[in-house]
Amino acid sequence: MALLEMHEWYDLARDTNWTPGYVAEDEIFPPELSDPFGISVEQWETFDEPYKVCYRDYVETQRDKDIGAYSVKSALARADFFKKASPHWKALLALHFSPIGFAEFHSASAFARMTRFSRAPGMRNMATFGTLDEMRHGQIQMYFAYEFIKQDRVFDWAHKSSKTENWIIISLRHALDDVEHTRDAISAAIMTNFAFEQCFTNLQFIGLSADAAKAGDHTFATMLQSIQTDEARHAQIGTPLIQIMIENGRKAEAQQLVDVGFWRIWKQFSALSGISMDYYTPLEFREHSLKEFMHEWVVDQFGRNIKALGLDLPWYWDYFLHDIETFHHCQQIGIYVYRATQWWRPIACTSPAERDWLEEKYPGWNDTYGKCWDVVADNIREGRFERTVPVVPPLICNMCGLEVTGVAGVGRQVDGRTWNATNFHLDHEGRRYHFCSEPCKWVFELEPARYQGHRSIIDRVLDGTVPPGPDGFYEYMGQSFEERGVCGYDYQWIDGYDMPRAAAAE
Amino acid sequence: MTTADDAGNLVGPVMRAGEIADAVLEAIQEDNEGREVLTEAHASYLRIKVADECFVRFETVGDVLGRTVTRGDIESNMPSFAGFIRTEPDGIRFVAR
Repeated sequence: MALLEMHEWYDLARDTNWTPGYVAEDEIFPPELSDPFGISVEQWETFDEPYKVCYRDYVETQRDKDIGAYSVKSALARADFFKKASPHWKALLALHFSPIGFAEFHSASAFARMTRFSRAPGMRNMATFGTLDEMRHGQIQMYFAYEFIKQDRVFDWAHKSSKTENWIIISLRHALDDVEHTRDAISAAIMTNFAFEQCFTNLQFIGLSADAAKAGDHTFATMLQSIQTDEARHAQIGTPLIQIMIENGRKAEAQQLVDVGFWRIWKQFSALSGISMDYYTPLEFREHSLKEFMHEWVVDQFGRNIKALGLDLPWYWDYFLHDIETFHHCQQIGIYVYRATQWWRPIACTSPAERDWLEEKYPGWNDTYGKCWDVVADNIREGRFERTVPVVPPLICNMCGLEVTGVAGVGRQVDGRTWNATNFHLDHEGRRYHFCSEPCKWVFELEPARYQGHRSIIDRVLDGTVPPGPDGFYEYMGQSFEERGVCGYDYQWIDGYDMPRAAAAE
Repeated sequence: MTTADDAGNLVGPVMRAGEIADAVLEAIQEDNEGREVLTEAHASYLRIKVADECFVRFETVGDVLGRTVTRGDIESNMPSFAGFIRTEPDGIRFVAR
């Protein structure tokens, strides 16, 4: 008996809406979880999946993807690779695997809510596969990371991190909770599938894979791209949703969801991908700078999609373009000098040759961020190691949870230069909130009740949640003495500074 | 001949570098006859770009490779794409809007 082709039965099979007889429609699909926009179910039923797949094909394809990724891993027997890898690459792997593996596993629950609560049958179908995708992403990344535990206990944080109150994890969790886990199915899908997955995952999972391939880490490169092939499919959930929203007079709401989601996830990837690409990737293996990858994947590719769908570029686009060139450089300084608050071994990556590369990619780097590194290098050279660690905690943004920092080109002018830490603060119901940027402040102002209860790590220090004493801070963050970051190069990165710059460059 | 001089309308797949990527490029050149096909090679991926619309037929890719090619074979090697995607029974179409 001949089997029907998928396109011959697909529309009928996925038409799973019916009229309930025993309960009210709103009890099955509560508006606060299914559709706070009041769009009719007939309109949601027009959701036409751009990327159609059935379960049989899905399982076959996913099996082949796993065979491919795991085969490369087995064939290359990574233990030796890791032993020989530089502190640069080890820091990069730790920075990738620690926060991402379990965050992806958590994303499965976000997709499961889309599957359960969406009123669009086609979306439910796509989200079902998205749920399975995210489980795979959590599992494969934890499995690959755990291979290194025998060599380095840092990789235990691939699983442990999400259970801790480490400040970086608080920052990531707050962003993902906001975008993925605490909204109705439609809003979460527009923010996650469109604003997040159609742009920023390309950066980390394709851009970084290019660096990994050049570095000879083919296992990591293959795993990253294998994951992104799933993202490319399920990220398409967001497109028809935006079209339906616009057709039903909800463009402003869709625009706001994109603007908020895009900004919140950008701040996370600025630190994650920015530091990975512009600092932790060994110089000889860098395919492009963060700025170049951002222009390829986000500014050009994703920016075109926003406009093609009938939306506008986010109102903060010009600020964002400036942020691409600045924010992660500031965060890299903070990550290094507050290194004990990280669980991996941060590295400076500012040898003379690396500085030349940074200056070429980001003109003016030496006159701004480079000045900070000069001070750090001088203190190390003089043996004043205690001065390389700030004695006061940083000001943390009450939205993105990252450090409020100076941004070159923004702020008051001092000594002819414009580079000052700017605190965009807001007084609300008796307390002052601090923000690193105008967009972070704007997000808060949109829905103060949504955000005002969140306490940054510094809020927790000040209100006594974090135990006092020299170790209280680290114990609160889940870091034993051995799990506190130290300089990955044991300060030897300043050796090049003892030579004249020209000689070092040669 | 349609030229791809407007970067704003370039669409097409981003393929993992390798045998399938090369075959997809060859197939796209055949399936989009008379239209300029641009490429951008990176260390681990290949961007294939056509102005406004780009179609890749599974059968054409299969002809290049000498074996049957399915949607899953393309998906497994396509981590991203530019534009919007439409899966069709016999291939995948990328459109600018």
